[in-house]
Parts: sequence; C-alpha cells; structure tokens
Amino acid sequence: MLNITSSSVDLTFFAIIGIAILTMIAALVFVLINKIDQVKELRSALKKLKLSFNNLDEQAKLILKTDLELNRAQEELDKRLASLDALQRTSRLISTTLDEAEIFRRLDKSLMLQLGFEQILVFILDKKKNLIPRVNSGFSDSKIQEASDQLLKDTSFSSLFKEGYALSSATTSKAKKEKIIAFFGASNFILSPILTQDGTIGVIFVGNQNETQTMSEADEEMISILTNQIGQSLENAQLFEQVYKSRQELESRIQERTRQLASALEKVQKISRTKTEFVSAVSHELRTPLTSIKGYASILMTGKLGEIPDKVKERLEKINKHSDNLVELINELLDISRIESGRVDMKFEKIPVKSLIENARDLLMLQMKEKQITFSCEIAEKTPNILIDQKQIERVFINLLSNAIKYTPNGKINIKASHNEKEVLFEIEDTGSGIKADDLPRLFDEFYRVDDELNQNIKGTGLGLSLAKHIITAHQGEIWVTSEIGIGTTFHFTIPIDRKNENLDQEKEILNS
Amino acid sequence: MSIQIGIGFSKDESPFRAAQDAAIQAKIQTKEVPVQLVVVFSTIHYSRIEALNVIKETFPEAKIIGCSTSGLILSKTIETWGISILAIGSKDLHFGISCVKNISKDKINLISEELAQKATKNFGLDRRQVSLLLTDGLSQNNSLLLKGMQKSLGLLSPILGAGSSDNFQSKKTYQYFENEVLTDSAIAVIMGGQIATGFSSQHGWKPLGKPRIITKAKKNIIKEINNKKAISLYEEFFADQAVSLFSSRLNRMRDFYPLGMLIEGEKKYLLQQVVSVTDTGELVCQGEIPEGTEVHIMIGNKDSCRHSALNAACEVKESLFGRTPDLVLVFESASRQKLLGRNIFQEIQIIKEVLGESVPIFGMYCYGEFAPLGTPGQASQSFLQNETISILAIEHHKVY
Repeated sequence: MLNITSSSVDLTFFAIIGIAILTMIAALVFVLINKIDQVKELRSALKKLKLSFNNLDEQAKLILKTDLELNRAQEELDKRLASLDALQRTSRLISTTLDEAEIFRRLDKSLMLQLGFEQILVFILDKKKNLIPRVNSGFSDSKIQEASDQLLKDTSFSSLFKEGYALSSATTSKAKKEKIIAFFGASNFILSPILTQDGTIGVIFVGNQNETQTMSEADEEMISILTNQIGQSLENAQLFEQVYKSRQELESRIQERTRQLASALEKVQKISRTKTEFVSAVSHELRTPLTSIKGYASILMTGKLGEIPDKVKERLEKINKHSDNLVELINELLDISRIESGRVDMKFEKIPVKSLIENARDLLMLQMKEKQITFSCEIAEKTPNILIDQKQIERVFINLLSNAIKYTPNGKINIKASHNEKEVLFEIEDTGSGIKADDLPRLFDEFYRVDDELNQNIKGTGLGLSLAKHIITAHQGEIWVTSEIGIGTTFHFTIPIDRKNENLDQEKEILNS
Repeated sequence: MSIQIGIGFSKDESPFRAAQDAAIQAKIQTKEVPVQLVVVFSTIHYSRIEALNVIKETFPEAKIIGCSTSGLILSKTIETWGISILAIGSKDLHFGISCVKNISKDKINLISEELAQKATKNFGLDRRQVSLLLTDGLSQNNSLLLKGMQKSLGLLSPILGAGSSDNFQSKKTYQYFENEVLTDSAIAVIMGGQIATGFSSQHGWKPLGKPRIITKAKKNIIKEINNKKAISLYEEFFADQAVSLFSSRLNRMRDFYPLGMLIEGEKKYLLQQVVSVTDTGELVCQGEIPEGTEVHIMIGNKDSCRHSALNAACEVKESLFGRTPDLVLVFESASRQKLLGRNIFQEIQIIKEVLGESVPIFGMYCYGEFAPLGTPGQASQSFLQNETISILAIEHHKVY
C-alpha cells in the first residue's frame, strides 16, 4: 500500500514536473517563435537600411557625376568670363590711345596674366621686313633674336604672314608645335598674326610654361579678337600720325603764307601811307596856287583891272568853274587822306536821326525840285539817337543824296531808317537808271566812275563814295549798295547805336592805322 | 605700445625692384618702429636671392621668413603674380625662428625635433603663444614633421601654417629663411608676448554616400578601403573616369573631391586630398592616414566655401571676445583658389565684414594647411589639412 501510495506520489510529482516542463517548453517555443519573428523583422529592417544606404550611395554617385560636370562647366565659364573681362579692358586701353608706343606699353604683363598668359612677345614688321620686338615679357634678348630669325626663315610659318592664320598648341600640327616650343620655350602657346587692311604687320605670341594651362579654341578666338584690336589701333595710330604730320605741314605753310601776307600788307600799308601823305602834300601844294588862280580870275572877271571882252569873260568863267571843281576834288582828297591818317578830330554826339535826314534834305531840296524829284522819308518808330560826328555823317547823306539826284531825273528818292538792338540802318533808294552788277564791287574805290553814256555827261570826282565809305568805317558801320538796271539803286549803311569806350579806342586805332 | 603692421606688394617685372618696392611700402607703414619679423610671400617668379637680399637690406634687424605661393592674399586684392611683404614691429612681441633642410629624407622625427628646438632656443624663455610652420608643400613628410614638432612644443600653443605652393604645376616650391631661397625645407616661427590670438580652420565640405573603412594604410598612403584596393572608392563613384581624372593635369579629383575622415575625439571631418594614385591603385595623400578610420568622399561648392570662411571668421571673433585684431593671417588651400575662380575675393570680403573693414589681412594659397580642428581654449592637436581656410588673428593685449 505504502509502495502503491509512494508510487502514486511519484507519478503525481512526475506529472507535475512533466506539465511544468511542457509549459516551459511551450513558453520557450513561444518566446523562440517571437524572437524569430523579431529577428526576421530586424533582418528586414537591416535589409531596408542596407538598401537605403546603397540607394544613398547610388544617389551620391549621380550627384558626384553631375557635380563634376558642373565644376568643369563652371571652371570653363569662369575662365572665359575672366578672359573676356580682361580682353574688354585690354581693348579699351589700347583703343583709347593714338600713340603707337603707348599701345604697346599698355599691353603689359598684368593684363596678359589676367588673360591667362604668362609670356607675351609682340613683333612688328619694319620696312625691311625684319621682325622688331615691341612688347616682351618672359623672354631673353637672345631668345627673341632666335625666335624672330626662325619665324622669318622657316617656310612652314609662311601661312602666318601670307595667309594670316594663327597657330596654337591646341590645334597646330605636331611638327610645327615642336618647332614653336623650341623657339619660344613655352609648352602652351598661340601665335597669331596682327592684321590690318594692308596685310600682316606683325605677330603676337602668348604662352605658358605651365603645362596645366592648356590653350583652347576659345583662347584662340580671344587672341584673334585681341590681335584685330591691336591691328586696328595701330592703323588708327598710323592714320593719326599721318593726319598730324599733314596738319603740322599745313600749319607751317599757313604760318609761312601768313608771314608773307603780313609782310605784303605792311608794304601795302606803307605804300598807302606814302600815297596818303603824297596826296595830302600835293593837294596842299595845289590848293595854294589854285586859290591864287581862282582869285585872279575873279578879280579879272570883276573888270576892276579894265574892261574885258565877252569871249575872255566867258573863258574866265570857265577857269573859275573848273577851279571850283578842282578845289572840290582837292578838298575831298584831303578829307580822305585826313580820315585815313587819323588826323580828323571826330566829335561824337548823340544826334536824332530825324534831324540828320532833314538837314541833308533841306540842303538839297532845291536841286530835287529842279529835277522834279519826289522825296520821301520813312523813319521807324522809336529809332534811337545815334552817337556820331554829325558833320561827317551829314556829308555821307549829302554825297549819297547828290548821287541819287544826279542819276534820278523825274524820279523818286526815299530815305528809310530802321534799327535793331545794336545799330540803325539807313537806306537811300532812288528810281534811277541803276548800276550794272559788274560795277558794284568797285563803286567805293577811289576815282572809280562807272563807264557808261549817262555818266559821261555827269561830272564827278570819283571820290564821293570813297569818302562816304571812309566816314562810315570810321564810325564802325558798314556801307554797301544794291542796284537793278532800270529799277533803281539803294545805298545801305549802318551806324552803331552806342559806342563803348573800347569801341572808341578801337576806332582810334583804326583811324590811326 | 601697439603692434605696427606694414604690408607691401609689387608686381614689377624685376624681382629686385618688386621686392624693393614692397619692402619700402611695408617699412613706411611701420612708422620707424623696429621691425622684428618680416614675412615674405611671392609667386615662384620672384623666388630669387636678389629679392631676399634687398628685403634684408631694408630690414637689417628683422628675422625674415616666407615661401612661394600660387596666390597672394591681401586686404584689398588677391594677386596671382607678385611679391608681398608683411613687417611686424612691436616691443611687446617676441619671435623665435628656425629652419631645417632636406625634410623629404628619412629621420623626419629628428629633423622635426631639431626644428622645434632651434626655434625654442631662438625664441628664449618667454611664454609661447602660437607657432607658425611653413614647409615645402610638395613634401610627403609634412604630416610627420608637424607631429614631431608638436611633440616637442606640446599642445598648449597651437601650430598653424602652410605648405608652400607653385602656380599649380606641383614641380618645385620655395621657402625663404633670412636671405636664403630654399627648397625641401621647413621653417618654424614661435610667437609670444603681450598678444591674444584667435584661430579657426574650416572647409565647408560635406560627406557623400555611405561611410567606408580604411582597412590598410601606411603613413600617407591608403592601400585598401573596405578590404578592396583603395582606388575602388573613387571607381565606384566615377567608374572608369576616376584614374584619368587623377592623372589629368588639372587633377580635378584632388581639388573637388577630397577624402573626409572622422578623427577620434574631434567633431569635424579632417579633409585629405589624394595627391596621386599609384599603379597598384593606392591613394597617396598629403597627411598621415590612420588605419581603421571611417572615410567618406566629400563634396563642396563655392557657396559652402564662402560659408566656411564666414564660420571661421566668426569663430576667430568669438575667440577674441569681439575685439578687432591688429593682424589677420590667412592660409588657404590652393584648391579653393581654383574652385572659387573669379569669386575668390568674396571670402576675404566676408572676413573683413566680420573682423573689421580696416584690419590688415596677409595670406597665401598653399598646398596643405596646418591647423587644429578645434578652437582656442581647447588644448588641441594641429593636423595637416586640405581644402581649408585657416585664419590666425593677432591682437595686442597688454597684460598688467
């Protein structure tokens, strides 16, 4: 029984143990299953993470490739922009001077560095077709000599001079490239002709010893633009030089001619002064005996010295009349010579225009009536008084009116006076026969008389208009004439309204000269 | 007494005349204060003994150092041809200079130690505040040289500087020490005195794609990445163009797509350019490459460059607590010069806008920049970096 009991207890115990074990196993299995799921999840997450990392790497590859392209483009763009900027500045610098030496001086090292070149050598062909170095940076004298000799001797470079083609380390043949590298000692280069309308006038070499600074087609284009600019600037400088020389020559000729003219003028003035003095002296000398002749003729005519026959009286009257003419002529000559020599003492006063014209009219009214001439006068309103020597200007009016009366039988004479801010313009119009156009330019010359049928019957000294011109000029005015055959003649002259001191001084100078 | 700064520049055809002009300009600006240090940067065309002789004649008492460059950074312009001279005069400043030659040869540890020791001896016992290192940018030992120098000088005073460059030919660069024109040499300057300094080095490049691990490397050569030959990284991205892009004269890969590495303990990516690719597909870098480092191909553009210049300037300003510096030295990667192209001056304009319009700026474009990844205040290690703009600002700061 005891055994049975103890075995039952054992069974129960084992059953409990078994159940516990089974429960634990079940729990463990559950946990295990759970863990396996978690591991699976983790594996899945890790896989995703790896995938993300790989995707990230792939994206990074794409980014890097794009970035590399962008960097290349940016680098090229930067280089081009820097070059263009430098080229623009270089072009501006060399195009703003017309001095050949200055053009070369401005192609300095710093500008070339900005263009991306360490070395520059500019050769210009002289008249003997030798290459003369004008700009040098980075070359010894011996290297320059060697390079210029080889460029001229070696026929493979004839395209440079004859056809104007540039050579570059980027595009030229290997053989030529090696030669140029040997001549100039630069591994990267552009050798470009300088062209003008007359062809190649020189060559420019730019280069770098630095192997990393390779030349591109864009560099070639840039140098081509630069050489064109240099060519144009040199051409402009040469043209300017020619123009400058011509101008200098012209100026020199003008100066020589001016000197000759001044000398001639001096001679003429001297002759004129001598003439004036001569005329003045002769007139004086003539007037004294003439006065005696006229006096004796007058005495004889009175009959105080005895009865004179009619024929003699008639002759004496002629002597008297011709003597008067001669006195008039001599007086006018004397007046002209006085005005010319400045010996006339001008008395300037403010005179109303109206009274001036009326005085002249009154003096000549009788003659106008005799010739049945209609006289009229038009004076513009508010015509100011003018500063003149009244006596002299009245002589001008009398002269011009007398002329008009002589050549205007049964006609009309009109005097006009108008003004602007500076001067008064007088116009004496007649309805006479008019003057031929050919005669007009010489009308104011001394002793000039129009050679026509009408004039042969009208007496005159040929000095009246000349005297009038001298008087008007002495007043700083101007006188001229317009005429039309069959219509009439108009004499115009101006008188300044006011005369400043300096004008008076000038006038004195004119009179004195 | 403040610091007197004189900066001269000339691009006269004759190296002698150019050096003379620039030296006189700098001398005039220092207002007859004795000049202690003269820094000469020039394009390789001016790397001539006669240029240094005339500078020495103009500043007989000054210590003269310098190197060749592909571009000169000045307050108002960037020049790719010419010579620039910086003259520093102040009684409150001290300089110690030294020079070592044949840096590409073996025993670089000894050479770097010698460089540091000579400079320290020349400097004296004053407190060192910042050191400058100018080396031949074409040497592959620059990273080790920097490491050795840092080991000797300690981490308290940071080292900044540059690898000298030529006009992108990568043929020969020059270093100037007193009146010697050297090559394959390194020059150190220790600076101390009553000054405050602020510095920052930024690049603006961002990682692209998934990270890879450098599985095998020796010194400056990456042999394997992800257990594959190192060039495969670039081949994956650029396919068959990769090798040709490295071998082309323009070496676009070097300039535009450097490698970025996360250095343990640093927050920024350290950029390393791949200078060349060996026939067996190994990537040759300028700096030392530690095995096991995570590496990315990096990408940047003009905008990120400008932004990094702004960040650098702002960090410097913050280091100086907003005060305006007396002098700003800029060491910038020659690759950035190429990348920025016509917009190159924009970075300098940004620096001026942050640090002051009238602050004198003097700098150069280089093959490798030496600078810490961190900012002042952190005892940080300097690294040979690429594609960065490194700014060192110096301000006279009287300590009572």
